[in-house]
Amino acid sequence: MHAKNFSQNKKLNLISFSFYGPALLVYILFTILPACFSFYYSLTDWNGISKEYNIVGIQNYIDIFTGERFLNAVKNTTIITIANVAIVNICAIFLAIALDNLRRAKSFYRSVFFTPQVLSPIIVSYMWSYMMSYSSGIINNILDFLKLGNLKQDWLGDPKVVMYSLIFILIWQGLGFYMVIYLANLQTIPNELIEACKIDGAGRVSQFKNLILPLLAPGVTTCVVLGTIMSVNTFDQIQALTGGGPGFRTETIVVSMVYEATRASRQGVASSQAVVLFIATAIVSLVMTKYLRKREVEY
Amino acid sequence: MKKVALLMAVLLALVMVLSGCGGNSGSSKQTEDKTAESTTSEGSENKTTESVKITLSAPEESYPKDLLDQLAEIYMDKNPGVTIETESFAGVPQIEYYKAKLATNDLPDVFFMNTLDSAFVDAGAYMELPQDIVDAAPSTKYNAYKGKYYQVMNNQQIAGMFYNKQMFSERGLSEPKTQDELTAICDKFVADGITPIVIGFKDAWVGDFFLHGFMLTTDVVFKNPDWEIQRLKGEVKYNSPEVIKVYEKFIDWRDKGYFGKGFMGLTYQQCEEMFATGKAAMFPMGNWFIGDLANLESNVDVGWFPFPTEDGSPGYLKALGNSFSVNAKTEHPEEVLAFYKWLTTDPEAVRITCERMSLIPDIKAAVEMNMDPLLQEIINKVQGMDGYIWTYAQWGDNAPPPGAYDYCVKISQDIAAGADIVSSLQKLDEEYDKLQATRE
Repeated sequence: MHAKNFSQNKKLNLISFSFYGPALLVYILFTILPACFSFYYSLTDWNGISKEYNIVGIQNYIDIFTGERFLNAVKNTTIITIANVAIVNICAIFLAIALDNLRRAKSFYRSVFFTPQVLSPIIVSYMWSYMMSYSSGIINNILDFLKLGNLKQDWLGDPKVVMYSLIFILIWQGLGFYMVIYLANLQTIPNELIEACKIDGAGRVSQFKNLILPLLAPGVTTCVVLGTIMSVNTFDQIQALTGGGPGFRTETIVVSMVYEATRASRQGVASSQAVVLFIATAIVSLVMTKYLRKREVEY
Repeated sequence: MKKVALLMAVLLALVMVLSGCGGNSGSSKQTEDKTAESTTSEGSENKTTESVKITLSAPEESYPKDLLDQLAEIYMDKNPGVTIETESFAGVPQIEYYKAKLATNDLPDVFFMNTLDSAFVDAGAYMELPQDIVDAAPSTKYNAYKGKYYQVMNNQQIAGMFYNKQMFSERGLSEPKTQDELTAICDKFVADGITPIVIGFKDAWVGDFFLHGFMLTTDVVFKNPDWEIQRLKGEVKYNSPEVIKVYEKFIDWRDKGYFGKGFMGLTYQQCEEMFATGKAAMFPMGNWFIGDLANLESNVDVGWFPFPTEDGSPGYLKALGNSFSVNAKTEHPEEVLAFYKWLTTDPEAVRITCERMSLIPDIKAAVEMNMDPLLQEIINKVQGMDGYIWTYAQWGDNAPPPGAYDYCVKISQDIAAGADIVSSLQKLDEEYDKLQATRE
């Protein structure tokens, strides 16, 4: 009997492996192995193209943590991530609730808000880059037209406003994605609970605070963790919009990493930054998932 | 039996996935080969069974695709057994682009890089050039790296101030001879609400070119032409009173509005357009701008003067223009070198390139070209003056370490945006020394 079960399990495992095996193989080849190589190269002084390099131990890690540039990049990455994740999630929840309550044209508005998400980040960046241009951008032209010329800004060049502009664009593009997740989450809340709430005399604010928000917790977990991982790794938009500038004002870890690997020919340093980023993202994601999961309620 | 069947199923699934992954590249290679064959047979009356395919690549901003195609066609007409495939790219820094190509063993046979990257030399990416090619373009001797040559220098470049003649004459202004005269002119334009000097830092090299290429070179390198070589050796520093003074002057000019509002967010193209549409009076740029000006269809009457020195002593900013390099691992070294020699040192190829790009030819053979009147005016104006190589335009052994220019541009951008000058220059020195140490 046991032998038969064992044989059946083995057969089942083999069948299931035939499905996930190829994907696993591709994942190992193109994700896990390069990540392992990155860790190895982070211990070398490889320039990225030469056949020769030396093992330098943890020197690259010492360099990045004692250098001002990497710490500045960590600061910028943190600001962008926290601001983006917090604002985009709050906006997405309210937008999802507003759309959920719409009686007409719900799909139309859902498509409208989701459209930026399907556009290439580079296209979005160039589009905003043109719109935010000081001399010829539509935003400043509109301000001029409205006789509000004193509000004109060098949106992507002024160090005082560039971070806000960048975060705004990231939110604009990401909003639809998170909104759709929250919309899906809202569909899972049974109408009976909402009706019961109404019968008990709860107003809209009370309904939102005591019923909808707690039941949106699974969506919050997904959106916050995904948002954090995506924000930390944002590269295309920042590179196309500001290149990390002016100066180093919007330079994130990923932008700095690309500079080290390609411009400065210090693949070892770039790899060490990648390893630090990987470890930090993994820890933050795990802690957040654990914490947010605890807040999820079941009904 | 069942186990064998299951195992076969698993293997079959794996093979199908892997063949799916590789299928496209295989078929595309086949198509590529077929295309190459058919192009050759169409492009040549003498049908050859063995056609040599050469890939020629350049960034669009340095060599427009139509120019590459024109040169390739001329060469293919003369050499029926050769097929040249051109490739152009934009929006990616050329070092990053070719580094990726090199890493994937896909480096074109002939490729353009506007700097001789020592990391590429160390990686054995460049083919060493034979002496006959070097001799055909004598300025190449300035591009020796550790006693070897990898890139031909076949043109000269001059930088200075392009200006709107009408705007100047309307205000009774003449070409300035000193920086005080220049600032007096700028003050007049500021008072009239016109941007005196258009520069931009969205494409940070444009602003940096004015700050370093123009101001630093004129105020520091004119007095000490070996300054950059001394910096390479660590004998002078950026964080020094003479350099700090240049940056302070730049910030002073910025605060007086000489660069207009919103200059931090301007691209090179926007700077060109501002000048070409009469929104700015002066544009500090190299002679290649003349080629762009023709495409802008501007009605502005453009003049040119060398960027003035503080005391009015004559001098102008120059650089040697480089050309292509050859992939050391090319499959057809003999044919590729023959094409390379034609492309970089043949009077016809150099004439076509220089006419299209408004460059000044610099090869041993005489080049009869239709010189743009403005370019001729520039050449006439600098006759008899001493020329000084602008910063970050040194070549070969004297070239700054890879990455130093990019970092310097970042620092310029940071300072223009309000960063502290002394600490920024300190950072620049530290990074420069680190990068130099990496090269050594």
